[in-house]
Order: sequence, then structure tokens, then C-alpha cells
Amino acid sequence: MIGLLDQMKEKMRRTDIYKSIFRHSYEDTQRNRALQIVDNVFLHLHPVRVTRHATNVGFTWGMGGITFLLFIVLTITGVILMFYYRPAAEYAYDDMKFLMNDVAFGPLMRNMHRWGAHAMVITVMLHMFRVFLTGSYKPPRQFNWVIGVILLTLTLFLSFTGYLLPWDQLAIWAVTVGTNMARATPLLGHEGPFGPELGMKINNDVRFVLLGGTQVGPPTLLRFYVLHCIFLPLVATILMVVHFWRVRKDGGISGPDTAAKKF
Amino acid sequence: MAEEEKKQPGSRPSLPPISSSKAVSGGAKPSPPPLRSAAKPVSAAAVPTKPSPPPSADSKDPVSPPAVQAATPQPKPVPQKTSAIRKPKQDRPPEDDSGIWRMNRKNFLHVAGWAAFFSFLVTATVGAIRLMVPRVLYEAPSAFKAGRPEDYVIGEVNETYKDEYRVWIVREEDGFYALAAICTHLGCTPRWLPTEVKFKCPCHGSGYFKDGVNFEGPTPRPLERLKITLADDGQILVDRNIKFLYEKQEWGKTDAFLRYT
Repeated sequence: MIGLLDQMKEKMRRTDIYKSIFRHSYEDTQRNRALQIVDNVFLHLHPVRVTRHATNVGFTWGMGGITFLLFIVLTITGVILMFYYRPAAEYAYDDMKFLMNDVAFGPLMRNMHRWGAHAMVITVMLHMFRVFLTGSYKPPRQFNWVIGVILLTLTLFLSFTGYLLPWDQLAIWAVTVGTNMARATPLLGHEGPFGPELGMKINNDVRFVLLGGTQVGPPTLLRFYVLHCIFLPLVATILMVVHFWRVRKDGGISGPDTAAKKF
Repeated sequence: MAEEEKKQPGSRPSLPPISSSKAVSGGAKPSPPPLRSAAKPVSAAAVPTKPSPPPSADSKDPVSPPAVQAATPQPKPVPQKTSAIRKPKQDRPPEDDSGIWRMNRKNFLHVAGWAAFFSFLVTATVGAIRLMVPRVLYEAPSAFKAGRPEDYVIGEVNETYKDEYRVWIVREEDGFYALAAICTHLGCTPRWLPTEVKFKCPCHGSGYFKDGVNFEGPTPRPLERLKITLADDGQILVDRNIKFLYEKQEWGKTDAFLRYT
């Protein structure tokens, strides 16, 4: 005797709308188990089957995955913060104060973003150490290591650009010291080797382009905001796609004995 | 082709020879409809480049060739030429001739298309890079006027412009020089101590003589001197963006020191 609720559920499952959203049933068959992963745009990053060693958390600690999770958290909290922040010199600091004092759950969002950023740098380093110590950079995985290093650089650059956005003393001086290093770049900096010979001056070298001026000012804030919110996340996403793809193609997650793959 | 025309209309065509040596082009089809070959002399010339169709293909179709042959007037049997009309060779360039411009029409359109695509791409890329380099700045100008030379005391370090511009102006017996009040260690603002006649940085204790040369502390090099000249109205003009470094032997340059007695 099927209850009324079950009858309604059955009816719903037979509608076209339902079948358009949920393409297969959920009975526990081998086919459905595979389809759950393969048919899902978010999940099909993962392989349908994993080797036994992939479940051994103690080998990798999941640091790469945690880094990716933090990246998602930072993106979501970052977007939420964007509703209350204006990247202009006259507004930036006051908007941050407003968010911390007068916005419901404002401090939670800002702190999640800040702590998440620090945590992401830590986990990305741990991930790098793990890859090194397990020899997961050896052929054929050398290029993936290179991509990883580029991703590390992008992570640090994201931290640097984000640091300026509160526009407080800490931010301005940190960026001043950091960009003062840029003027010593060879060939591209106006105080670096061969820079002045190539016509680099304080108002046309790489530091000038980064700052949008000769010193840290309103153009710098806007530039760093666009770098931090749009450009660097886009580049990082593209490289992450390649990075994960390469892991899949090169045989999946590392394990103690990847040669003896047991499913 | 010539063999076909000799046959009586209506009779079944015999199997054509395997190699038709009589055809001008050498691989002429054994029994193409005469209409087609009359209309398109080009196809006969093109035949050598294409594999000739198997002789059996046409012989499988006994119905149409006789019918077509019956419909068309019998041309005079010309042993050499397989097509009736053909332009003289000197009026046409050979196929795939790239001409004096090294390209024919097809190549030209290909090249022009890709050229347009790449010129757009290059323009957009160069434009995007140039756009990132600012042309107009809303900063205060780097140069400022610092009063008249007569108002300065010989031997004194003047701190009037230290807060606003981070510059000390020092008058000696023979002229002026301007020191940047930026510690060459890590960028703090040092203090001038007149009783001890030295500059001392509060951050890490770097010490400099009155002329800017470092003598104690973690700083690796002397303070930087700035360009100092006389403006048109007689005032001292200091440009903070143009620096002179002692360790590069630049303090002897013209604008590093303003001669005034």
C-alpha cells in the first residue's frame, strides 16, 4: 500500500521537468554509481573509480584539495565583501570600518577572507612540500610541478594585492616596500641593472605600470583591486584547470605504491 | 573517344582499349558523352592529373552513350584532339600559377584574411599593453620651489620642507645641496640632530654626517641628493624625482650642487 506521499513522489518523478533535471534514477546499480560522477559537471573532475591508496589520507593529507577548497571559500567571501567596498582612496578605509562595525556578519566575512588567505598560503606550501617529499614531481610530472610553482606565485601575488585594499598604514607601507623592490628589476626597473640604459625612468618602468604612478596612490588601489578580484583569479583558475587535468592524466592522486594500483 | 564516333549509332559499344593512346591527354575516358567533352575542354586537359575512371564503368552502361551519340551530330573524326573547342595554350596560364605577385586570387584571399585577423590581434594586444602605462598623473609635481637663496643661513640644515616634501636643504659657503629625508636602509624618515651634527634614523639607528655620508648603523650607503637648481624667478627649485647617488660618483654632477655665493 503506497502512501500518498510516495504516490506524489512517483508522479513527480515521471514529469518531464524532473527527468530533464535528474537524468538517471538513483537505484544502487553500478551504472548509476558511475553516472553520478560522470554526469555531473562539478563532480566529473574526479575519476569514477579511485585506487585504494587514494583513500589513504595520511599520504597526502589532502593539502592540494584543501588549498582548492580555500580558494573557493575566498572567492565566495570575496564576492560578498565586494558589496560593501569601493576601491577609491576616499572610500576604501571607511568602507572597511563600516563593514566591521555596522554590517551584520561583516566581521565574520572579512575575517574568514583574511584568515582563509593566510591559511591558503600555508596549505599551498604544505602541498608543495608533500609533492616534493613524495617525489611526485618526477617524470612524467615535471610540467605539473612547474604549473604548481606558477600557482604558488599567483597565490602570493593575490595576497600582496589584497593586502593593499583596506588602505591603512600597514597596507600602504607594505606595498611601498614591496614595489620599491620592483624598481630594482633588471632591464625593466629604473634602478635595476641595464634599466636606465634602456631608458627606464621613474615614470615608465615596471614599477610605474604596477603602481599606476610614481608612488602608491589612488591609481594603485584601483589597479590592485582589479588584479586581485578579476585578473589573478582568472589566471589562477585557468592554471588550476590545467593542474588538475594533468594529475588525472598522469595517473591520479599520489599514493605509497602507485605502481601496484588496486581498485 | 575517337573509336566511339566511328561506331554506328544504336549498336552496343565494345569494350574500349585499356590504354587509349589516341587521346591527346593520354588518359582520356573511353566513352564520355560527347556533349560534355564539347562543352568543357578544360576537363580533357585536367584528366592527366586525375586517375582515369575504370574502363568498365562506362561499358556497364550500354544504354545512354548510344542514345547520346544518336542525339548529337557526329563531329569529324579528329584523331589528335579529344575536345572540340580549346583555347590556345598561350592565352591561359597554367593551373596554380602564382603570377608575378607570387599569389593567385585564392592565395591572395587566404593571405588577406589571415593578415586582417593577425593585424587586429596585434593591434589589440599592443593597445592593451600601452593602455596599462598611464599618460596623465594626478600626483603633485615632483619639483617644488623652496624660497630665495638669500633667506638661507650658511652652514644650516633647513627643515622647512621636511614634512611636506621629505627634503632637507643645506647651505654651505659655496652653494646649496638638497638631501632626501629617506633613510637608505628601509625608507624611514631620519631626524636631524643639530647638537651632534648628524642625521639619525629612529627606526634602526642609521647615522649620517651633515653631507649625507653614512657612518653608523645598518644603512649601506649615504643619503641621496636631489636635483637643485635656480628657477626663473630666482627661487631655489628642487626636483625630487631626479636623484644623485654618492656611491655612483654622481654628487659631482652639475645639478647635484647649486653654486651660490
